[in-house]
Amino acid sequence: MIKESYREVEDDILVKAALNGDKDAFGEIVSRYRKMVARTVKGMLGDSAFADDIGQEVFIKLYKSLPEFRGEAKLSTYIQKIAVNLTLNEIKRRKRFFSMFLQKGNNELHEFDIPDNGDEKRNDARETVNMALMALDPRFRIIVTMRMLQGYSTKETAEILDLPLGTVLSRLSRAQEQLKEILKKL
Amino acid sequence: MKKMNSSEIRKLIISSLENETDNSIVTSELQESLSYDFSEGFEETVLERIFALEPVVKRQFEFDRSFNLAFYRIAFTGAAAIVILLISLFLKEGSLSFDSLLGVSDSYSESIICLLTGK
Repeated sequence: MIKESYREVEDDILVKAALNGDKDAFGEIVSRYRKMVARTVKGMLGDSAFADDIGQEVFIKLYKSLPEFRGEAKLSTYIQKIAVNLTLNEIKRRKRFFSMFLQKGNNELHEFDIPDNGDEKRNDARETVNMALMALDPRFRIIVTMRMLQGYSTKETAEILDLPLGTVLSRLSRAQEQLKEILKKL
Repeated sequence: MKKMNSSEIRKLIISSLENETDNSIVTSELQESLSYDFSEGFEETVLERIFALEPVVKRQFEFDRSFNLAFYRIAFTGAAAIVILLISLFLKEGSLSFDSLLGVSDSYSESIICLLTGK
């Protein structure tokens, strides 16, 4: 259980407390940003069992890199960057893994996602969105995830993804076209 | 806010893509209806994993910190030595040219040949 007293505390104070080994302070950071990370990871990987593992890795990596966090960017942006990097690495890793065993063109990631059979009720709306997102190329999927699911501006998306603004805009436009076609077919 | 079903979500996204609806409205509707989250006990698992790793992570922090400190000390000492060397060179030779750095500023080429060959 997380200490109630941390609920109203600002991020930088939580970071300092976590650096001093305060478990509750870090617990509050996890609790504050878990949904944001889930949107990025599950938006990119689908509702798979792997998504929880990647989510955990995001917070473990955050904990390890806290001494390097200087507070120049918002903590949420810092966490988002970690989530994006780990998710994209996972996609690359899976692509490499499956391309070793399968013929080219047959290694689309969404075909290998393991459905999460937890006690959560199936969410049809989420399945529809996941299916549409999974049909997009990962380069476009990440842009749609940042813009539509997270609500970042194109400038913020460019900053998080370390891409030029022009690249984000052109990818967004292509992603939107593709997404529209996919959703119409669903 | 009422959660949207599959077809409502589809319509919302398509109309937002066609009519350029305000992105924040679409995002809040999507966040509400899709409610992405990790499974129960996520926080506890993360904290357990982190604090099981803690001694290793702490050692890593301490190593990084002492490495940085040692690096700054060595760099500062090195920089100070270079400055002292340059000052003493300037006082002795009167300039900081490349020749004076090599210690051959007042040697003629004949004397260098003599020095190298012994003739």
